[in-house]
Amino acid sequence: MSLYPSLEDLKVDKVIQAQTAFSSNPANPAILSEASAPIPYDGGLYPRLYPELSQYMGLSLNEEEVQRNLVAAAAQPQGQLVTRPSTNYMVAPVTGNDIGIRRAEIKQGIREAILCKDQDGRIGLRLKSVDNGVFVQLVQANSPASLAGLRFGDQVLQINGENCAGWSSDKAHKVLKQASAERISMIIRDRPFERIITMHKDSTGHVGFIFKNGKITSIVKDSSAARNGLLTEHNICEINGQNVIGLKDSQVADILATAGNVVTITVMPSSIYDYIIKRMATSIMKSLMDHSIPEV
Amino acid sequence: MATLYPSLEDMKGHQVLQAQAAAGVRTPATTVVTEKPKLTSGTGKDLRPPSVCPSEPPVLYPNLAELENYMGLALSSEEIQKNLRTEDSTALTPAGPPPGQLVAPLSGNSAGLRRAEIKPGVREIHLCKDERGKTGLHLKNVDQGIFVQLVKANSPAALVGLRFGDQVLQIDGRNCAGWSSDKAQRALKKANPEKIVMVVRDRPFQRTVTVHKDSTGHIGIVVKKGKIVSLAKDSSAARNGLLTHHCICEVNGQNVIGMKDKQLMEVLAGAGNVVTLTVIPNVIYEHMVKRLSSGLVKSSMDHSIPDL
Repeated sequence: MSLYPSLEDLKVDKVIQAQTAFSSNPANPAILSEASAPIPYDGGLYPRLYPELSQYMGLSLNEEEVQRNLVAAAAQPQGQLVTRPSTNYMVAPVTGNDIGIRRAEIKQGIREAILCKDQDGRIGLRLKSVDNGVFVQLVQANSPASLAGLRFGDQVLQINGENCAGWSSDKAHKVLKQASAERISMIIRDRPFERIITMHKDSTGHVGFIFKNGKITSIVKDSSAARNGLLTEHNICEINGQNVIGLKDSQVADILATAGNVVTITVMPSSIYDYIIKRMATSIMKSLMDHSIPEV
Repeated sequence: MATLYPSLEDMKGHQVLQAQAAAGVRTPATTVVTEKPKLTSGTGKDLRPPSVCPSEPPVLYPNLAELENYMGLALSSEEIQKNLRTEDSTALTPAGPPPGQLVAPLSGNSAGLRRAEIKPGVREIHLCKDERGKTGLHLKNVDQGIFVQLVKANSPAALVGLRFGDQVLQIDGRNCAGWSSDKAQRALKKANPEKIVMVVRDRPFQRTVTVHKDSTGHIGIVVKKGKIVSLAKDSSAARNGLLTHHCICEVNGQNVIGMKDKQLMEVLAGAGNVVTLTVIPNVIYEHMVKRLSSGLVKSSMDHSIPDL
């Protein structure tokens, strides 16, 4: 069973599979009927598939690009061993090897991050206690925390070897303050409450959702967002891996516009998001938060 | 990109092994010195300090007997070697595994981990109806998306691998975005009984946490009505960051929603030393099972163990 990062990849792959099956066995019309089922606009035969795909679902695809993405996906080792819990095992004819997905990807596991304090003795990190766990509430721009790759929503499991379970926010900050300035070791679980959704822009450059104050309020019918199951009542945390919390709606729209055809957004349910940023002054969020583009 | 581990115990075990392997080429005295601070800082408890072995041969997998009481786990050299060997890439070179690799010296062989794994992506499934024309599936609208609310035992939906919390993106090629629960059920009812094509996103609201049992067989959580109510201090659950106010959906990939607490504890007890829990925040769970009769949840929900 293959996995796809977005619905468009699934549909295009099915169509391509049907076409290759058809070309290898031209006497079998049954395959085509299956291929035509998910594509309502054209129920006929597909003698030359790729030119028809160019208007498919409002995407602009061309033959070379799809071929290139497929070859790259097939060339990657798809063994049983989970070599990298990422897009390598997914088939992505349309999305391809998009860097936005790799930046945004939420890694299912635990990692260690080493930090040191800057000359003011600060880390640039604010933590919040949620459900007896400690989460990252704020990562300041150009701070040791942002250098270590910490992001909003990361869960901190241990600080210098001590479990953070059950700590209050104050206790967590106290421990950080008292920690050695040379080296602070933190064990992090990557953004447990968030998830990524990959979508494609249509020919007008729209992905298909409306947001206000960083929260998704409605989905456009028959858009890529609707197809890929984007939900309302969610806050946008990142676009292509870049943190957008605290930015003005117009700035977020700019980032979306310049983002390229494949957009991977990281969302978090609003109830949880509101809880994490409770009692954090909005001015801090707007002025101090780290909005840099992470490296992959 | 840092190395990833499914649980904290895997990380600590792997770091100790790496330290020992790296120190294996140096004098044994140094080995002991570098090992001690790691062990005591890792738990904050009083451990038996590793015994000094002045004439230890430079073997790659040194005797891990000192680690046996580490963090209350029962570790043995053979078990860790077995788990490490099956992962080809975790050869104990001083360089360590390539970055981004999921390294699991303790959890590596766990079938539960693989069964429970939530795969971030979109997949297509084909469903047919049984002889009474039912699929055994209940769907619910959450935030303008359609989610699986109930999978009945021994039903076509259970056979095809659908689970509580899966998001249904398309039914027979039509987007489900914005549909009400009734509309979705009607679409299922009207669909062709031979084949229903659905596009599914794997359990978007849930996440998996891998924990290890200590020597008394506990993972360190208190469960009431299927929800995690509190965590035991210094337990595997606390170390791995399990949270309260979460509902347990699955244990090692087996659905446990609707089970009595006693049954749930039995499943946990029988689960082996590595337990992968799939959890969902309470607020979202409550929203998803709203207006689903509790009788249905307890009696007909599918609790089978999925195949890999």
